[in-house]
Amino acid sequence: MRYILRRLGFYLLAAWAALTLNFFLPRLMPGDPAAALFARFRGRLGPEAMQALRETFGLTEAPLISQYFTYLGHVLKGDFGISVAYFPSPVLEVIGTGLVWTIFLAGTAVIVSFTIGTLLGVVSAWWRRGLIDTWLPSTLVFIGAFPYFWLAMVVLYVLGFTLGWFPLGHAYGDDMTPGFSATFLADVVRHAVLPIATVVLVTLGGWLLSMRNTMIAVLGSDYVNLARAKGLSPWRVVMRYAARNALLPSVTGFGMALGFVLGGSLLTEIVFSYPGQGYLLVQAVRNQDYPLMQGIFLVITLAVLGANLLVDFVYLWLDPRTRGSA
Amino acid sequence: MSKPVLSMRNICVDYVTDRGLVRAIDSVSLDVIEGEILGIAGESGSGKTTLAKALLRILPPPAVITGGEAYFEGRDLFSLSEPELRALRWKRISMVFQSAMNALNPVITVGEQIIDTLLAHDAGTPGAARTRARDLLEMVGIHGECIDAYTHQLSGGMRQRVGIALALALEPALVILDEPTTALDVIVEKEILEQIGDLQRRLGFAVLFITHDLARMLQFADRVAVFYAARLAEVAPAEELRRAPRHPYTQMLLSTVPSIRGGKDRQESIPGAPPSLLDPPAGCRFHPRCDRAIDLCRERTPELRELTPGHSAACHLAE
Amino acid sequence: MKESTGAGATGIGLWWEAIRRDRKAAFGIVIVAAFVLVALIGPLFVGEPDDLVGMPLQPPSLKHWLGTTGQGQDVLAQLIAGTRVSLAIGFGVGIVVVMVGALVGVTAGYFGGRVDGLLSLLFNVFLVIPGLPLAIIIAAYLPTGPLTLGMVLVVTGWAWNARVLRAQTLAQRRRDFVAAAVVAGESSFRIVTREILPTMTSLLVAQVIGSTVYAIGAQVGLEFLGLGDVSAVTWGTNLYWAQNDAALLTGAWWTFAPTGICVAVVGFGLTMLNSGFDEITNPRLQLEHAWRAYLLKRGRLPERSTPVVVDHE
Repeated sequence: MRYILRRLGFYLLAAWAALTLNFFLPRLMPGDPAAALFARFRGRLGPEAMQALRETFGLTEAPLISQYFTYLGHVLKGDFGISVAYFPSPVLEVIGTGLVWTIFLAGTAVIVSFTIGTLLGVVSAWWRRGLIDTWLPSTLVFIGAFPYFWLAMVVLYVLGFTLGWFPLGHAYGDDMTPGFSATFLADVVRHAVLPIATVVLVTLGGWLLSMRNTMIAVLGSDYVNLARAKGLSPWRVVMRYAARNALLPSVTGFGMALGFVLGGSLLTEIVFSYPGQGYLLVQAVRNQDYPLMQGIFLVITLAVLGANLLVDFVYLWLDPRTRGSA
Repeated sequence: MSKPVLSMRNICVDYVTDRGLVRAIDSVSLDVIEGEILGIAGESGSGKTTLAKALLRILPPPAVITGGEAYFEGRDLFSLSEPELRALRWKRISMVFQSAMNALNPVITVGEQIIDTLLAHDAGTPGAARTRARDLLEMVGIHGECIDAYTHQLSGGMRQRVGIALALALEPALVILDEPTTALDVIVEKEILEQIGDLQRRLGFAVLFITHDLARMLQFADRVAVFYAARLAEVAPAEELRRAPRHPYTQMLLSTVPSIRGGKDRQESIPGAPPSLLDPPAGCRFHPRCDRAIDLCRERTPELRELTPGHSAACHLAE
Repeated sequence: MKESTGAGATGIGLWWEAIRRDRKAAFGIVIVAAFVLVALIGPLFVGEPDDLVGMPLQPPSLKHWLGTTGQGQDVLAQLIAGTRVSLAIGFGVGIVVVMVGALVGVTAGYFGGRVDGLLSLLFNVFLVIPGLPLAIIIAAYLPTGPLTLGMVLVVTGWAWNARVLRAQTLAQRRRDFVAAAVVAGESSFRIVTREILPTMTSLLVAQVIGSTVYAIGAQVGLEFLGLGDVSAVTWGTNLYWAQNDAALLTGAWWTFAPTGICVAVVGFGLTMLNSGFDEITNPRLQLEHAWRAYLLKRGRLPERSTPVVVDHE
């Protein structure tokens, strides 16, 4: 359990760092972003509301340190301020509408991609210089070199626009009533296929290569050699001995790549007008909606930290050495 | 004397490199007699481990077996197909690796690693296999509860015992022990060697015992083969080798053994270094370090000759 | 006293080895060289990228090889002009990112102790904070332009290099010749710059290449979001305008396809260069390669069990 506590401590620290960054960034920047921000609200908010907003961001006349604690206090209460683009909705409410979609899209894509990529890496390493090993890694690295959003545009253009096999965007059709009905869920899946496929395509090569390379190292280890000497079936040698061990560094890499993949997933959302954080982020950038931007940054960071904690639990389960009493 | 369980004839093993082949085992012929303990001694890099793994055909790339035969129970190990090899491995020949820490799978329990071996060779139901695995652990002096332990939870000595239990799981005819005690302290080493001796007398398997520690070997083995630079230097019954070594290399090895128990590196006091296998010296490979070398030694490679019944040496000067 | 490496080459020399001996590396360097050439002299052969040369959204023709944009500019001219800017930012950021990573990573690895603890914590935090949203909030507060873009890319990209270089420095720190220099009383700065960094030259080159791939990709992504200088001509802004001009809905594939392909091809070339280098510096792979060739020459396929090959000369 000490392992998890240590990781938890680290994530709390990272979350605090993100909060602090969020607080100091506007104050470190040239010019006066606070003035710019409030200029955008002028005429839309009364003096009292304006004062409340100032306090939320700690943009008062108080000394910096007390501004900082005021800010932390508000954020901890879930008060992220008011959105400019979606005036007068509070930032948290705006983010809340899209969070599920982002987590659904990125989460599904990253799990599908990791699973398939890792299995292909095992196959590639075991049949070294075979047909798969010769062609697949290079092909997938090439596909992975395309920007997410560009591939999304091509996929959308060919499969959606030209062939009409898939809807052109959004999370579900206009004629649908959200709920747990089969038709609605089927529609959600139909809308999610292209964006998920895009993210999977771009990231597949990375997982494949990382698993392939660790597999090749593990296949040369003593315990795999002993497993072969024991006369075990090749399947058992590969899965239970080689792949089971090679998975560990891949899972660590998985945690570290989460933030990166999420970024790509956000860009993909934009192309598909998918109603997640990516779409909101563009709205925020276009409208110079700083409260929304900062809110999205915080929420996404927290989501990534949470996902990393889950990955740590998986690692704990996979590697008995981390379960030690010490 | 009874018949050999394993007959090696002119075995050659090479490593493929960018600059051509490097011979790691050069024309080695040697018998392992049923139920005996045959020691193989030599400096590190002399090819002992290579030979052991070549017999099981588990030498990883870039190794290639480039010649010879290894007859085991009437079949040449070097002409077996992949499925035949898989059926024979561990069932008839098993091995204890040098470092159990590296040889045991760190992420599954030691029990599972014994059980899957039993099941791979159809040795009963999963339940029976588990009972057998416990018995095996207890046989080597480990509490049966350790069946659910992971490698990292065991001490160095216990890990090595697990390796031995694993090796005996299918009651093979030949067990190869590759320096099973190098990583251990002297007391644990002694205990484990005694235990191997006990089990060997009880179960009657033959042992191919690889070590760099010739002195220890002479106490433990029935016969000893001394390797030098990929070749056999001398083969003799242990008792005779201690009394009357014929090869200058063996003589030097024995003369460096102090009378009181010393550290494990006591053999390093032979002057000079073993030759590089990339470019071995012509003639007798030992001649650059041999104080009795004559011109013949520099020109002709000495063959292994039987000097007295059961005692052979590869030296022009030995009589 | 330095250990000799197998191939006899070190540092930059190893890279030449890779390019000479490995097909992937050779392929990669050809691609990268071609793009650099286009970036350097390409703009001389096409017109001003901003000139309005014809009707908007014309498909490729003899006059305009890659058609025209939604504003009526020549796509090819924009592509080539964009190559220059995007590659310059890519390589520039790639180098700076590795420099920052080296400074932090080597310092952490060399001094160890509390310094290492703090710096490791710093880069681990940066590794776990998602880069794109962080880049966006930084870029949004700064005036748009290449400098802002470059800075944002450095801030979000240095941590990985620091992590790798710390580990490498820790390994070097334990080597004999470094210990000898410490005992001889050489200054830390001298030991780092004379003893440790030179042993990592080839790794640093690999990192610059990897970071350049990252920088090009991230730069294109940020500009696509409108966080670059949208009046400049770069690969990212080309895609931004293609999206803005509804290239998809009008079926004007030529306004976005060529740029994306260029991003992918140059990224692929750089990655191949790196993986070719990995291949020739991995002793295991090299040995396996020779082994495989030996077997194939004798008409044998590589097997799982140690092969038995008896030559009858």
